[in-house]
This record gives sequence, structure tokens and C-alpha cells, in this order.
Amino acid sequence: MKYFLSVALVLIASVGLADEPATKIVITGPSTTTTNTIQAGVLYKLPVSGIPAGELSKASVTVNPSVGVTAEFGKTLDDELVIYFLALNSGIHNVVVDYNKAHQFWRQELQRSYVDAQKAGASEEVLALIQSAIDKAIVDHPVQSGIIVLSVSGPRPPPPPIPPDQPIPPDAPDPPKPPVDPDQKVSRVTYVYEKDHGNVPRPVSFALQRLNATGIVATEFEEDTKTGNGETPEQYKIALASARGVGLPALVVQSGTRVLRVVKAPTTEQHVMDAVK
Amino acid sequence: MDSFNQNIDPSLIDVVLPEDGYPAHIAAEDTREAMMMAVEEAGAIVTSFPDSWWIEPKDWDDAARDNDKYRTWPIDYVDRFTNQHPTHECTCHALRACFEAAWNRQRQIAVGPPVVRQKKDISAQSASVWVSCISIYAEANPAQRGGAGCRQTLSIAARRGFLPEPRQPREYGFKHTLHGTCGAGNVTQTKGPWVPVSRFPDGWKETAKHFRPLEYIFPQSWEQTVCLILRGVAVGVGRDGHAIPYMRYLPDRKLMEYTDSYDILRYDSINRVRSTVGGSYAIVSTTTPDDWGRPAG
Repeated sequence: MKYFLSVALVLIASVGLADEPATKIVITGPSTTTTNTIQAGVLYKLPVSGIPAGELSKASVTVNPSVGVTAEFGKTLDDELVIYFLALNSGIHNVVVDYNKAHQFWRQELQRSYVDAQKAGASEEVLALIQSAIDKAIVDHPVQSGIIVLSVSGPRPPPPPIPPDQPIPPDAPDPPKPPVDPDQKVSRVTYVYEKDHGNVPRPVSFALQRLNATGIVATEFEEDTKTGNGETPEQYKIALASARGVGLPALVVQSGTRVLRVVKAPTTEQHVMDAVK
Repeated sequence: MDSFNQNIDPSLIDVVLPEDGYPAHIAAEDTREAMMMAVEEAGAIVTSFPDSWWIEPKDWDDAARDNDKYRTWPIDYVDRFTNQHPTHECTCHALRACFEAAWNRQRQIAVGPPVVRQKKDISAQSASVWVSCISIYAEANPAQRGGAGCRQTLSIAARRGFLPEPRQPREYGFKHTLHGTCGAGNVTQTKGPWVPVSRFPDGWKETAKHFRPLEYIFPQSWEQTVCLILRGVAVGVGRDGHAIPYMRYLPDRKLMEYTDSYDILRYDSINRVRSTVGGSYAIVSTTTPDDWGRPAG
């Protein structure tokens, strides 16, 4: 049996459950994508429906790589099931809700019981009973999960102005920066190369590691690499074509599916960081 | 990380264990030519050591300093130890280490070096996938005891891939998993009973195919082995009854560091590294997913 999730995203405010008006976005289906991004430091509340009662408390929530997150389940005053999570980095993320994790734990516990029973010298009959339960657990409870790509509609609102009769503190925050055009915000950086002509220069590798820590998906890609189905990975088709256009090796900088720039043969950390600016 | 000025306990150097999965009669069959033929027949690519990857020995010190500075050793892409005790799974533990190092290097997140008895926080923020040693060993040696050759395990992995373990650094929603070992395991490696291939989860090949080595290099000299390590590529070797993955070269001590499948770092001297040529391999690339967050689709 396959469970489906329908979710609605409610943007709450900068810290905690503040009183600012919420922007409500409704996302339906297991994987709807938009071009906007999750904002760092914002506590998101994700109402969830479609999961059988009694199973939600044992599920888990994780977010795509390079994003710190705290997540937990709870109930609102209206007894609505929700997930709360806080993104520490901005970016486009996948949120995976694995609500059958309880069953994974059950299988693992049964497998441990089998080993313990063996060590204790249990009879073949007992071991067969435990093995039968393990087999049944694997068959009856395959892991199911849903993926939701969350997004925010539009930029964060600027902070409220300081009242005129209050002195401006010396460390007043900078005025709000103009919103970044999401079409220009770097989301992917790929070093495309052919290994016979050299591997990834170490400073370039280090730069890619640094970019990953900011939420950008920064990787290497050897041009002959394939998926498990024997095809060029979907996520690298654009970078590969762009890099081949200028000759390998090349660094391809993207905002979503849009190529912002291609840099031929970068060798230093600075080459990479300059390309991303 | 500092690969110089290391104080290494001599008891960790050139360790010879009781045969734990790589007996002499199996090792004898693991010639370079036999391994190359086996992986090619399994559908993987065998690549000659690229000339552009060669590093003159006089430059090894500088290359090592760069790897320290930029976190580009193979061990920088490995986030866990495994523990096979008391099984004969060593060739599969070595192979999975080389695979996971290659996988994480492609993602370019330095999740290593591994810490004994610790699940690293960085792993959950990366694309690290923990693959099951038993998923290979069960086919390599259905009799369970007695070990397996590198030729067999490399070929099996290339042909149909690893199953992921049920415990992962983060949730990937895998439809098919298998515990990592029938040995001790640890906080980052699940353990469980012996499972013949016939009892793998139904449809398991649909998941395993996404975790295959794609391309191998079989070094022809110990210097090429060192160059591969300096280039960030782990090298799997078998010697003296045990198979392990080389992960870092210590130039001033002339030692090769490896993550032994007993929750411990150990070291081989250059003399021992020399003895491994002819039966060693490196995984240059692995299958890569359409989406790092959903590596099995």
C-alpha cells in the first residue's frame, strides 16, 4: 500500500512562532518544484496529512545535504499534525519524510534478536521462528517515503522601520539589501573533466567543498559517468553540454537550469570563488 | 590533518592477522590480468593508469602537504569504520571502503576522516551512502566461511552493485536494504544473520544497480599505488591473508595508512606496499544518481 502526502507550507517568521502574517503556499503531489528557495533562520511549519494515525511519531525528517535542520513532529492546538523544521542555510532543498521508519527499526530489532538467540544456543525451531518474523517484516513493511521540495514565495519582507523617537543604536543592522534575482542566484557548480587529462586540482576540490557548505550543490563530474540505469545523470546533462562547448576541463556555474557562466580549466580556489560571485 | 611528524605505534605497522578472508590459495588467483578480465566481463571499464596522474617521487612530499591543506586524501572522503570480526568478509569490507571513498569524492564533500565509534554530523549533511559488505560476500562465498577473492568481489560489485544498509547517515527512502555485516559491526555499520542471495529482498537488484563501481585502475607498480593515493583515490589490496583499503600516505615515515575492518587505523611499510602490486585495484568512478538526495531513484 502506498501512502501519499499532501502538504501545505506556512511561513511563520524569523524566529519561533511570531505574530507576523504568514504567506501560505499550497503544494500538492509528492515532488513539486519551484524556483524560489527556503530562507535561512526561518522556522517552517509543515502541516501533514495522509499518514495513518499512530505512525507519525516514529517517522523522521531530513533535509537535503548542506543544510542544518532541526525537525520534530507535534500537534497544534487544533490537533493538526505538523512538522517543524529550521533551515540553517538558504537554498532549494528536498525534505524527506520517512514515516515508515518504525518498521525499519522493527526489522533491525528482529535481526539483533536472531544473533542474540544464536549466541545463547537457541534451538533451530526458535531461530526459524525469528527468521520467519524477519522475512515477514521485510515483506509486509517496505520502506515508504515522500519527497517535498519546499519553497518560499517571494523574498523575505524587510524588517519594520525604527520609530523616530528612538535613537539608532550604533550597531543597527544594515538596511535591507535589494532582493536577489532568483534567476541569478547560484545553485549548482560542477567541475566537468576527462580523467585521462588529469583529475580535479586539489585547490578546486577544496573550493567545491567550501561551496557545498553554503548550500550550493558543488561537485565534480567525470564526463563518462553514468547512472545505475546507464544514462548521463539528469542533474549533469546541462553542465556536461556546456563544458563540452568550451572544452574540458571546465567549471559550469548554474542557477537552476540556467547556465550563468562557464570557466575553462580553473586551477585555483580563487578561480572557482570568482566564478561564483 | 598532518601527514608528517606522525607518532605511530609500532604495533600498528605491518600487522599480520590470522587469516580472516583472504587465504593464500585465493590470493594466488588474484593476478592483475585475472582481475582486469573479470571486471571487464562484468561490464565495468578498466582504465590504464593515466600518464597525467603520475607524480614524481621527489614531489610526493609537496603533494602530501597539498592533500593535508585541501582535505583531498582518500580518507577525507570516508566517514566510517567497519568491523568484520570474527567473519571472513575482509575483501568486501575493503571494497566497500574504496567504493564509498569514490562516491563521496564525486560529491566533493569531505566527510572524513572516520572516527571510531562515532557517527559524524557532517555525514547527515552530505550524500554519503553506507553500502552492505554482506550484499557482495553472500554471492562471492555462499558457504560463508573461508573468504573470497578480490577478482570475485570486484566482478560482483561491477555487475550488479551493492545494496545499501538499513541504517544510513540520513534518510534516502531505499526500497531494499541489507545489513552490513555478519560480524561485530558498530554504530555506523549494521549487523545481522547470514542471508543467502536467494533471501535478499524481492526486487533488490533495482536498488543495488545504483551503487556500482564504473571504472577501475589496476596499478602496475607501488609508485602508481602511491600516486593514486596522492590523487585522492583509495587503493584496495590483499596481502598476508587479509584485504584492506589504502587511504593515506605518510611521506616522512614512508607508511601507507589504511582503515582496517576492525575499527582501527593501521599502517603498511613500503616493503609491504611493494608486495601488494599485482593484486591491487582502485575504483576511479561509480554510478552517479540523477539526484544526490534520492540516489536509488
